[in-house]
Amino acid sequence: MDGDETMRAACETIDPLLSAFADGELFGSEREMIERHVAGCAVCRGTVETYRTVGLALREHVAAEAAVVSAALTWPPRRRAFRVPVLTPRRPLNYHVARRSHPWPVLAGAAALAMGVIGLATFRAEGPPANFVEIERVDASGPVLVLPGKGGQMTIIWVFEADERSAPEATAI
Amino acid sequence: MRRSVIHRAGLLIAVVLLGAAAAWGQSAVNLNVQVIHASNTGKAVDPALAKIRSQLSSFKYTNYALLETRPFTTAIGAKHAMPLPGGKILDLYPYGVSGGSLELLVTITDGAKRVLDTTFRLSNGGTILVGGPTHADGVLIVAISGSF
Repeated sequence: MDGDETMRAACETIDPLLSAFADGELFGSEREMIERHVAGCAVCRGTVETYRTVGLALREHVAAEAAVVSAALTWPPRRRAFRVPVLTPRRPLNYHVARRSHPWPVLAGAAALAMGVIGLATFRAEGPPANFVEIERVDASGPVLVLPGKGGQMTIIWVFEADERSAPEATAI
Repeated sequence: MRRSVIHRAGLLIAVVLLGAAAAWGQSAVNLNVQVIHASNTGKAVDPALAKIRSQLSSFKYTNYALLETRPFTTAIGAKHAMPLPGGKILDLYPYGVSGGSLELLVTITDGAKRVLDTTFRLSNGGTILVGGPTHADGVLIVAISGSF
């Protein structure tokens, strides 16, 4: 067996491990053995470079797809956060931004509730005029005089238990 | 940082408004009862009755004394009884709010005798005068005010 055959046999042995090596998944003696082989074998070195290039492109593609899906389902700030590629070293994924909820829904809810409360208060404030009284029923042990309030005056209900001359000056209704 | 502050402010406002709405839903009613003794013994009007002095001129009495003022807070559907001078009992029962008015049931009883039994609607902050029950040398006039 000459040198070329020895190298080819080594390539065939190592080839199944090159993908894992390119992804940095090998350790110890296995990794050292492949490093030694790749340093002296242009073919395997090219294969490792190809694995790394394809792997990087694939991961970037997956990250981009994930960003599109997330953007369609989340609020604008989150879309901006997910738009950053996961593997870009200059702008790593900001988990704090992604986790933070947006204040607008809370503010919108508070504003709607405030408008409701103000509307209810306005409705109540626009009730009947001052000292308005609507008598629905009067039962008494004796004669009763009801003087409806007019022009802001108070309504009077007078029960004739005492001397009739003490009644207020008005006509009974 | 700025968004965090806005977020917390929004939450705070929401909590405050929810609390206000909850408090509003409890429908607290403030009632104020003034018990006045009207007679022809003397010619004086209690200074504390200045707000209703013009109303008192409708009656043929010369002396008006404020015997008792009892403000209290109650709730819709809660009955409240208070004794009047001479052993009579005044019962107040705010039973609802309708059209911006307080619906009130008022009774005055003297033992088993029902002197007065009436229901009426009172505007917010309004006052009604109920008079006639005898007391000493005159009569009692009860001013009932309600706000909600």
